[in-house]
Amino acid sequence: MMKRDRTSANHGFWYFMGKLWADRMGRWGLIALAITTFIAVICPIFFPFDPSKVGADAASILTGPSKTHLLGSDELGRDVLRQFFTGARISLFVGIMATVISTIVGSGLGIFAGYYMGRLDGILMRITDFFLVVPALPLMIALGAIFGQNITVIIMVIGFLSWPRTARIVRSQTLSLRQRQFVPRAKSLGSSNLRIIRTHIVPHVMPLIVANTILVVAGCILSEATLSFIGLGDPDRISWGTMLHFSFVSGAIGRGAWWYFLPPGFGILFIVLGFTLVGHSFEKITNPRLGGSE
Amino acid sequence: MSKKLALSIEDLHVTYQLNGASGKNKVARAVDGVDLQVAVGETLALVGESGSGKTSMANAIMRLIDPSAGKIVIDGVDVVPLQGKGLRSMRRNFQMIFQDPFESLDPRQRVIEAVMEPLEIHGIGGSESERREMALAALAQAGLRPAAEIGERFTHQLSGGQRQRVAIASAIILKPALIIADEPVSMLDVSLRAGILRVMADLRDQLGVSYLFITHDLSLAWMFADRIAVIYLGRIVEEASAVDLIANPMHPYTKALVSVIPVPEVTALEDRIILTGEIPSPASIPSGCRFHPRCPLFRELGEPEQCLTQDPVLQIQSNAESHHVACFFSEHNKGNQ
Amino acid sequence: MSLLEIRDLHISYPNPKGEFFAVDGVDLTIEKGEFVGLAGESGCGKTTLALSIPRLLPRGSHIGAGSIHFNGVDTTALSEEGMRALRWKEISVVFQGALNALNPVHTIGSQIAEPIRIHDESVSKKQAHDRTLELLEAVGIPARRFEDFPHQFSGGMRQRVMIAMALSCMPKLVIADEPITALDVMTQAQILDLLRSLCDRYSLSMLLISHDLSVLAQTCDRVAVMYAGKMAEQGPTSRVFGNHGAKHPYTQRLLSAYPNIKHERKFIDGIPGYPPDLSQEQVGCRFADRCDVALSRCATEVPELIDIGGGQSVACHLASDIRAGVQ
Repeated sequence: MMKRDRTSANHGFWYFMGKLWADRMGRWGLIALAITTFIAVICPIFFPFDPSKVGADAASILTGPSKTHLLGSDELGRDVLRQFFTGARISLFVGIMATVISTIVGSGLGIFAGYYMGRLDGILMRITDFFLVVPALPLMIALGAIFGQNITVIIMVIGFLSWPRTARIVRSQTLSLRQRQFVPRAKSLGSSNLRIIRTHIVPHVMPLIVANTILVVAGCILSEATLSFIGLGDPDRISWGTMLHFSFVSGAIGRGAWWYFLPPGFGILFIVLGFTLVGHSFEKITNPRLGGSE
Repeated sequence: MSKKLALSIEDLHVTYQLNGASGKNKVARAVDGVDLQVAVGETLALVGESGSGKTSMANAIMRLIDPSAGKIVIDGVDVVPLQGKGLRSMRRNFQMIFQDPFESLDPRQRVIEAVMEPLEIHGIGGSESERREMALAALAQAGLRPAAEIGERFTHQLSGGQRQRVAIASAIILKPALIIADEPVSMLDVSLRAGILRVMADLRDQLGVSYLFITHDLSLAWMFADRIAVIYLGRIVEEASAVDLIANPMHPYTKALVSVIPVPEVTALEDRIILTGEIPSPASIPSGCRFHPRCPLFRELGEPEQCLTQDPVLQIQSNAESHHVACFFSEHNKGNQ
Repeated sequence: MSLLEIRDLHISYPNPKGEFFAVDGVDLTIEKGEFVGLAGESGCGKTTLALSIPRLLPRGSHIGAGSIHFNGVDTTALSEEGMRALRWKEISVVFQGALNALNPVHTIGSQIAEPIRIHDESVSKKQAHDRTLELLEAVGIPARRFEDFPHQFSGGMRQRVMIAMALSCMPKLVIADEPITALDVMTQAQILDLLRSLCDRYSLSMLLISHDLSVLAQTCDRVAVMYAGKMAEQGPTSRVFGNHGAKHPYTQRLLSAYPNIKHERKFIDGIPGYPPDLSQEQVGCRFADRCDVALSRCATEVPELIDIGGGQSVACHLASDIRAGVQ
């Protein structure tokens, strides 16, 4: 008798944390995220990075790990470990802020398109299609070049180019909710459309939005790393992508200065993997139809 | 007007645009000129097969779809021209009980939230606690006891019968003049139907609620309603008091429907009139009398010209008070029951 | 020898709390050419019982104690291979959801012809085609619709296709699982008449499952009523629905839950309460909680299904008392 309402329970934050922890994929993801969050939030407080604190002479440039520089120094003789900590902070910050934009735009458009259907849906979905097929990288390069290498611009560019997927997913879920009879019922009670969206649509699509958001963070961090690596990052705010860029430009890779390019590289891999694992695990929890081992 | 009307429908039309595969745009006339009245405190059953247009009528009256023509006067106000805020505030006056209790309640809501929702929408009740009191009273009235305990459950934790009671509670809490009940018990087990219908009947007696009871089940309509209107292909073909319509059906379609009503006892099968074929598509309504291709009487009378060319209107029968039939030859059906 | 003899059948489903018996010690007999109706409300076990005959139960279910003898052979002892030989050739099923059971991309003609050639390889294409036309005629579908696709058919016509498919190998027993649910009254009458006439014409045995007792009254030779995994009452239609009447309080109450237009108009009765939760241990008569004539022993003793004469049997302490009094 309960078969139609499997996806409908109301649960809080800790319920989902417990569920994620119980899932092997989710647990590894949570661990990865906890470590990177610690690195990004706590470490820079105790080991701040001062970009102006360059090495005194040529001997201090691109030195290997030592007691003074646990992860060696860069091409200007600055401490790589401290850079790595700050870089985590910038990468995470850009990723999350871009995701906020992406989620707000994507979910909003998706819900309105799916709920109102008809002509509005047609227009919104054509816009979505446009953004979906726009080659992201050249556009980011162009926009970056026009608006300058500024962290706000980077966030905006990444955010506004990553929402179409969210919009599509949210729209299709909203469309199917729209067919459920509790929507006409709410309407016949006298609810306005906005009220119906708020009380009967949003709570149902929320788990989907959350799962998708977590996955989008991974994508945005990767986008930021790509942009920064090709030299479009904010040179004043060093992220892991920017570190990779400078290590590449300074020839650290050719000189075998692994301490310079491996940490940010693995950092990106680690954080993206963390978000992806948690995202997929969350998706599995909130949508049992996706299967899994349960 | 002698009696006060809860609902008065005049020449209602509902059409759908069909986008055929051939690219031709066809129009389906789901409701094709219906007049109906429901007096205050009365129950009118609208009986029809699937595809008869009864659900389109319910949705049009509820203003969930827009009628293409006609008037729907509820409690003295024509709701057809209303839009937006004006329509929303009028909705207090007419409520609906949907067919499928598994679909019509939001599974993420608690029972009490679902019942309080209409009060919040219309800003009724001074405070949260006052609204809660009203909701609990409505739940108890719908036969959900202990109301306080059931109110805290999520709607998806209830059985079908209980859910339908929640739907009833949330419909009556606004004290509407008219409730449209669209097959309210067809999804429920037989042993639970009486309980739901009893609650609806009690509300009728206590609060003077008027019902438009939509069903495919003539025997249930006979049991529950004061009057029955039979709809075929978007048009009312017969309307009479419930007892009279079952005892003395005059339209050949009604006659056939009445003859196949299953009864829980051994009966002679020979008296049944089994119509051949199925109800045609509302996109291609037959000319003349829309029932003539399936009509046994039409064949019996040697296919009279009139049935092929003229559209019969619903007319009062000379010797039967308030018994309306849309058939040229209904006289032939009289008395041989 | 009866065509089908089910004795003391137990079928369980796994459950987080262990296993629960959807069918809990049920007897059912179907004679050759007999039309039997199996009634009961949702969750009573009627579909589980019926689908256990061709062994089409969902995964996880388990036939515990009991036997199913079909034509003298105990099918519970048959291998899957042996069962496959019986399925469709001897025992076929008309499923509930006609739309889902038909393949949308094949013509209905080819879908009816398919099982004929699967089950008998000696049949030529031509023969299968002729046989299909014959079947279409038998179920009242014009031969010209052979090449049509399922979506071009109405609900009633699709159900006719399903019936033709079930008859394609001329089985001895046809199980029809809620074949008329969701159809209109007129179409219901058409389909029931069709089933009845096919049963007589080909001397088939038919097991018609329905939640609607009133529908069975006019079609079946015999009815069986299940409640909460047990057989409550069974007997000839003429007795259960006739003057003799139903003897189990559940059947009686169920019958009074239908409006009867042949009688005075009165409000229908319901049955208070809900069926028991079968995942809990059951004690005594399962209907006792909802029964208004229950005796004290009903709460503790399980009533046996007792023959009360005339082919009617009832699982009720009251009925057995009546019988004891008569003797």
